[in-house]
Amino acid sequence: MRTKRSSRWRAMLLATVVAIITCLAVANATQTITTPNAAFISYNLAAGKDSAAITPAASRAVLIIGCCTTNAPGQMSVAQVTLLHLPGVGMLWVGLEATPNASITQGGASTSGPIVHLDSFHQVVIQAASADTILIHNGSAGTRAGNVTLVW
Amino acid sequence: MKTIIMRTEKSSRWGAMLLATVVAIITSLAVANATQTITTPNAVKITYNLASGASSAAITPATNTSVLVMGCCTTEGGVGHVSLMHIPSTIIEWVGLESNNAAAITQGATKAAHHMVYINASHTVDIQVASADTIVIHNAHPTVQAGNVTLIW
Repeated sequence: MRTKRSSRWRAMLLATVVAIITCLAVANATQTITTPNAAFISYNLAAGKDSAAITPAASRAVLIIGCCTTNAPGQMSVAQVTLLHLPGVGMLWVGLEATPNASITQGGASTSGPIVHLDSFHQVVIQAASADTILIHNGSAGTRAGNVTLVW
Repeated sequence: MKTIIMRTEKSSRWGAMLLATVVAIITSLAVANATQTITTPNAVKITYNLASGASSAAITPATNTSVLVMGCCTTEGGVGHVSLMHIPSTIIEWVGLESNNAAAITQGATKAAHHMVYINASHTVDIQVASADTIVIHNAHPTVQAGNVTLIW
């Protein structure tokens, strides 16, 4: 009688353990579909000017796509990077410079430094401004306009 | 004479109406062709914290559409991305950039286990094709590595 009861309890315990492990495995594979976040920043910068500082979302990959829409030869273009902002530490990125001379851009910055160029002449640039911010800089001799979108 | 003129007038009126109808149909077709539907994109964020040699649970990307997959490692640092196409039960294709600091183009198509893109600086944490329908995050680094992967489509 006692042996029967004991084996029944064991079987129930085993079933409970299997159920918990199954639930954990299922929970691990669950994907929650959400709406991504986006920030759209327009710029219209005089020669040598910087935009306001932009703080990308932290501790996750952020897609940054930017363009220069100033309608003149050699100015319009588009480029992109994925960027990781480690709060208080700096930025890491990998991406492609603007056409027509596209090439891989990659690196890390804890203070300042170019990240990716947005115009054909590679004079308008998204650059690190501090460990936590980036900005758009117009290094050309004329006014340049365009926009930058961050998606995460 | 009057009958002939009336018949000619009626005939040209019908001709004009027919022509107008044809023009309207062609215009409608052209407009319909150029229509863009603006939708809200979808996103999935997967957080990982993997022991050395471990892999995440399988992830099934959306099918028959291009999916942006970007991932990072917050332990060691590093970020990489690919755009991916998943044809159900058939193949997973991708093109993108390996993580800094040794970035290079990564591309391929397979339905078997295969490296896809590194997402940490030392190229030891990667997103891999696991089957014709799934991908996984794998940690080949000698220590525990954490971070996250976002899929947007």
